[in-house]
Amino acid sequence: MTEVAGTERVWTVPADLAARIHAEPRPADAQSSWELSIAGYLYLGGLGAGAFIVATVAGWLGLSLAPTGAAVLGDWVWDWSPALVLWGPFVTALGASLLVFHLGRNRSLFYTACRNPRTSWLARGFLILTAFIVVGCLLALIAIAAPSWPDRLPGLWRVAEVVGVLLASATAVYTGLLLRSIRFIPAWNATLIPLLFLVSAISTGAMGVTVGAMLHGYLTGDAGSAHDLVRWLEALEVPLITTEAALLALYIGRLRRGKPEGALAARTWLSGRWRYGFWGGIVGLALALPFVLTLVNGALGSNTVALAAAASVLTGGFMLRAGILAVGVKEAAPLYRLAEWRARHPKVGAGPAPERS
Amino acid sequence: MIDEERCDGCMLCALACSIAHTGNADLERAHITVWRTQEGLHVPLACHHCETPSCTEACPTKACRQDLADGRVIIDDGQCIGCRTCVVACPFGHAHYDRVNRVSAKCDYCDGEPECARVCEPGAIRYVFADESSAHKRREAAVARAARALRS
Repeated sequence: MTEVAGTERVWTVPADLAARIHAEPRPADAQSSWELSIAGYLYLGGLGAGAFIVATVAGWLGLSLAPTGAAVLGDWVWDWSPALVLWGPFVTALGASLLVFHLGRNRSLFYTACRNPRTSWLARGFLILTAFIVVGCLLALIAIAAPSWPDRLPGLWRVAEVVGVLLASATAVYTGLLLRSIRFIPAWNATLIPLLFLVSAISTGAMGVTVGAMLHGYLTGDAGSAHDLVRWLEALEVPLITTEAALLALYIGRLRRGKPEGALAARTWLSGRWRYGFWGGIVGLALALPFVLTLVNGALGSNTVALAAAASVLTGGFMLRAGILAVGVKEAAPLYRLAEWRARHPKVGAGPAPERS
Repeated sequence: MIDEERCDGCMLCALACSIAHTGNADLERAHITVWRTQEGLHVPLACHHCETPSCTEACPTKACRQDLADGRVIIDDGQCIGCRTCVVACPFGHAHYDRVNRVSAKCDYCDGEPECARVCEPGAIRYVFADESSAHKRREAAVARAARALRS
């Protein structure tokens, strides 16, 4: 401990000062403010949105699950089949709750979080997610609790579904736009991030709906009840995975050729401390394994193989978001760079720094 | 104004800041940090109160906003929800997250009399008006030129 006199008070300097000063000289570590709960928020938000898009479009194509009418109160008949495919908005709501737990003061969230939608993507996201969750949950609940209503007003129902799909698409893209809005983290501020997250959301959503469809077959005792839907989802997954792989390769290529912190992020993924998560979790689980399994299952038609592919994609989708957050290295502070440059190029004729009295 | 060549890394600025704002000598809660570069320089870093702050654009609740009267960028504790978007948005690494109060926090110039500038003995941190800062640098350059002329 050192006592320093010379001012109005005597300051006692803590013993950890040396450790603090000799800490990492350049802030090259990834940011730590947005941790794993934010990855969960982004993942579940995208998963729920993608699942809603896929399930709704499948319904438009006539690929719905067989209804399971169950009389509850007198003549009231409800159908729990839609619950297995229209769970998307509920999952997005669960993801939003992860954001709430991340906040320091979450009690004031709901009346303060949307005050700055003019410039803040977090505020815009609050509005977009709220709209999607409300509309989506309403559609799902009507499909479950009042399955005859859509047939009574088909035009209005279709309009509502289109609105729901648009809001779900906005939700999926927003999860990428939120990261892209952070201008000084090159790994996040990439043009491809929103598109990559949209494709990943639809991919994971499709696999999530696949699991729901197979669960329907298990619960009803009719394994073939969702056959057409599952096969369609598998066929959809192949171009989705291909597109996602192409976007990922393009994204990493641009990072490597861009700013130093972006190149550092790419190196961390390809050969650094996140290489196992990248090659195993993202490339392996999200892309390669499900690609092979869905291709093979096109001939086999096995629910087990389909389930394995779904589990792989669902895990890999989370790894993608967690991985992007994990390599969020901020550009070095301009004053920092200036100081380093001036140290390498000392001013000619400048006197020494004054010594302390 | 920060002169990194004068800073010797004593951290008195961070101590004074944390005591002034929190009542405790807690460097983790200070609004100024001192980085050591690879060349051995110490660089005090605090909020620059930018003219177009990234943090205010990113803040969803307008807790982080620019004071229209004096241009300071401040964080209103009452409205902050602790989302830390301003922390990731700032290109300089300020604000920071105060784990005790569970809100984001940053330099607010101590309402016009910064503690860090007051206690900085080497003079690495000086609080001057914006229109005087360039004049200050011109004076330093003139003094350096005069010194070289006298030596030659």
